[in-house]
Amino acid sequence: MESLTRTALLLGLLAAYAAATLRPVLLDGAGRGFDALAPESRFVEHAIGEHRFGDALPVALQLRHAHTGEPLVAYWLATIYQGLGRPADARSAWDDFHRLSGSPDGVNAD
Amino acid sequence: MGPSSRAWTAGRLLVAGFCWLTAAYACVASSTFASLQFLQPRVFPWVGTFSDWHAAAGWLWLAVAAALSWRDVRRHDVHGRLALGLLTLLAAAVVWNSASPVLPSLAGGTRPLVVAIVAFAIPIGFGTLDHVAVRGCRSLDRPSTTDRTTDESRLFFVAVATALLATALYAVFASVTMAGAFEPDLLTAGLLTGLGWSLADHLWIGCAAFLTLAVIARLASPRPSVHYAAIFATLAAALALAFSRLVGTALGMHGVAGAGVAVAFGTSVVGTWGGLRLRRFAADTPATVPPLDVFFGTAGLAPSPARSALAVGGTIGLAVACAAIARQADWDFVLLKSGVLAVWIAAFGLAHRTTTSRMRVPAWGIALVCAVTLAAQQTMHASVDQRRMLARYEVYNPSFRLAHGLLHDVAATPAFDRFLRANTSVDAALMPVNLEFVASLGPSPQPEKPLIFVFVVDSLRPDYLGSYNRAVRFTPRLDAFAAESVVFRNAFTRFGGTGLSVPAIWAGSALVHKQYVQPFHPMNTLEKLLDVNGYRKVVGRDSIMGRLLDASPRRDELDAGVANMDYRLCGTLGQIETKLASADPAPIFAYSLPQDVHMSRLPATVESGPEYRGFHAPYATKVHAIDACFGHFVDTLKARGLYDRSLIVLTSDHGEMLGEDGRFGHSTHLFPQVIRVPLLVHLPAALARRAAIDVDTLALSTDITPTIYSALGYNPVPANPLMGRSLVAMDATAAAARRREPVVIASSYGPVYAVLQDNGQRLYIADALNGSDLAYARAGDGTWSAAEVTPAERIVSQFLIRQHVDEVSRVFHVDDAPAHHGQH
Repeated sequence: MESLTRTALLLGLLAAYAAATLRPVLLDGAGRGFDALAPESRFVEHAIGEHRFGDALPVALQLRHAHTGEPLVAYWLATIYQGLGRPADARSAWDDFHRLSGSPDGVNAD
Repeated sequence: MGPSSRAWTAGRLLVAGFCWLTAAYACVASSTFASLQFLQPRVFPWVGTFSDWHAAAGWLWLAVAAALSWRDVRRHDVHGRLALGLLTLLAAAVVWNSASPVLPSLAGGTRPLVVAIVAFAIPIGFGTLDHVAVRGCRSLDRPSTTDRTTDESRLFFVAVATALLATALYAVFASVTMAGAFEPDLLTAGLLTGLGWSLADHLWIGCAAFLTLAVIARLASPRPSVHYAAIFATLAAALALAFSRLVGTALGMHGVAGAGVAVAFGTSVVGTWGGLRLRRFAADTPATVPPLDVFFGTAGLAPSPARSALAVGGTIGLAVACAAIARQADWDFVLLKSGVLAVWIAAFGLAHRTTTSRMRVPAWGIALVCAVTLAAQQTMHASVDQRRMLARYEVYNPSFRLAHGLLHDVAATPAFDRFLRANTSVDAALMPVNLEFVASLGPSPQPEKPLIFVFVVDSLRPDYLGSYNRAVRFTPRLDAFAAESVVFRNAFTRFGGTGLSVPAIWAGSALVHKQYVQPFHPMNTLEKLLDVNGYRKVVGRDSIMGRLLDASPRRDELDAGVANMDYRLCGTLGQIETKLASADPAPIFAYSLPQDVHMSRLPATVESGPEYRGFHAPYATKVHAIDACFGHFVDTLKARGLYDRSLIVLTSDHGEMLGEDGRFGHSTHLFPQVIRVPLLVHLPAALARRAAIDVDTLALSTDITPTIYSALGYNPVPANPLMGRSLVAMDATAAAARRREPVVIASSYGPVYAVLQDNGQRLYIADALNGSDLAYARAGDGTWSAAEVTPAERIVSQFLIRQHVDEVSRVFHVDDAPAHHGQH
């Protein structure tokens, strides 16, 4: 009986250690839902890189609708609006980015 | 000489050691960058000698292996037939290796990994023979329940004692190495914080190891052979994991082949050690042995104090020796961490042998220690100040660095890391693209062409020159040269590491991450400029330049017959002075990559004078040596009336870590000390009068070639954002644009990228090898300090890096290549 108790105790402790070790991996696997490397995200970034802001805008807006709390999408929109010559929209998106990323204004983001 | 003798064991370890060294060579050769930049230039000559003599040494090795196995071969049973078969296979391999030496032919790809697996497999073969030989011997124990509890108690005590020993040993080590250093973060609070975290981390690892082994014993102990196999597999897996995390990561050995090498390594080491120990026990010990004792030794009933002290002293000596070796030559702490791992194993073995098997720890005691340790590790969250303290404590405590890294280094953005790995060290066959600064390049409109000298001193740091650092007193001639030249105070390399930095200088552009696109000539904007203007190219044909330059009758070789790593600026300048006296009327262009201050060429110690106080003396003395030679060269140019007609560039391909944060060398690092470079440009008098220069604007190594275009009267225009800009045509508009633009820098040798912002005042580093990111900020006085990575900074910087990678793909048509693979 003592042997069984001791075995159970050791197994329980080992399981706790294993869970603690694997927790970050499992959390990463669960993900936040937004993937900056998903095809639609890469489309937006490719379009921005090639200055095809008009092509990037609708996809970026779709992504904002799907992921309202994602600061990267706000950053894309700020860049796109700036490229399209829409400073008011760019400023608004820029404010969203700062709010969502929790950064003070102007921190390495220009 | 039988299996029970120490000489036989030593001989077998020698045989295995030759195989492990062969495998280690093959692992290094599997990395294209390591093969090109480390093996081929013979950075460490003994490695090249080993490769040269490997085939011949194989015969001696075979003779030793055969002599040691002779007794086994003569047995008329399965074991004897297996031994004969193994020796026959080895003889065939040695014949093959003699006919076609394997090691010298290894250079990147999967083949070296196959060779490594085969080399690791040979000791596995001998280990298998050992295990077969002792089969039937009653060397493994079948414990009773009471034995199990006492064994468990002993194991618990050993694991905790090992953790405490490692914590204490390296705490003392840290205190000793920290002596004399100015560490405001490591005063009493900082040291206590470091010690507390170190204890928690070491205990966590100790408890985890204990629980794993104890549960295996509980579940498998009814069958000793299963118990032994489970212990064997666990130890092999642990070593394979360590190999993968330390060596595999550093060399970019990912994927199935990389995992195969790691498993082969773990099995090879554990199989060899387990086999040798079993043979000793089978021959010497009539009593039965618990499986763990096979690997770590049996407990003495009354260990002698003298022997215990000797063992402790040996463990301390091992720790000091490993740290000392790592200080001489290391790659991203691989040797340092491997040394710590060896000390942990030695400490465990020491505790295992010196602990009697009569103790009994109650279950609640085990539960308490394990649970408290787990709870502490899970609930301890460092504040910003504490993180800074711990980062500094890691510098002095390598055991804490390893333990903390194992438990806490979790990739912040793993998908981004995968993206970087996929776009680094591209192995697809790429066609060269045509890079141009001038649309239709014709001869220079200037009637008089300047003499051009470009000296890229490998690993030279700007803060070791008086023109960049007022504290420097050992570069008087370079300082005098700087006073007559333009000193770009804010210069950075475009690539950390020579492998891509030098090609980028010649191309005047950031390049695709590949060593190398061939032929390189269409991208070589500097060589095209020199050719069209009839320059006589006086160039050292080192391992990189041999791949970059076109075959040309106007090339005059410097340092002919001298090994790359033996290029010395003094000798090279002497050759250039001789060539200046030639009657050839063509204007001269001279280029060299001297290795005087490369980490592998520094003396271990030097007599340090007062002028080197506060500097890394071995490095500073080498800088002082090149200072005198360079001054003499300038004197020669002046004496011949050539100085005012000369464009002289003195720079480096990258900087160097000289002990900052415990790091040496440049490896895959992009720390400020590695990416900042000196850039001194002496302009021909005519150009100096009309140049528009801003020395405080961020300058890049890729700006050197367009600057040379300007010196010849061209108006260079970068065709894409990756190309450099002329530093002597930097009017207010161009300077403002450059100050505003972020710049992405890459390591030559791994998926590590950096973003410079705010005119080089802020640095973000994304290290996909270690799954980490870092930030540095530069103060007004030029000093850099570590900074917290803000979420906004991470988002924007990673976006900028992706944009840069996309731009590289666009310009160099990477996505059009038939098979595009990076370091997956």
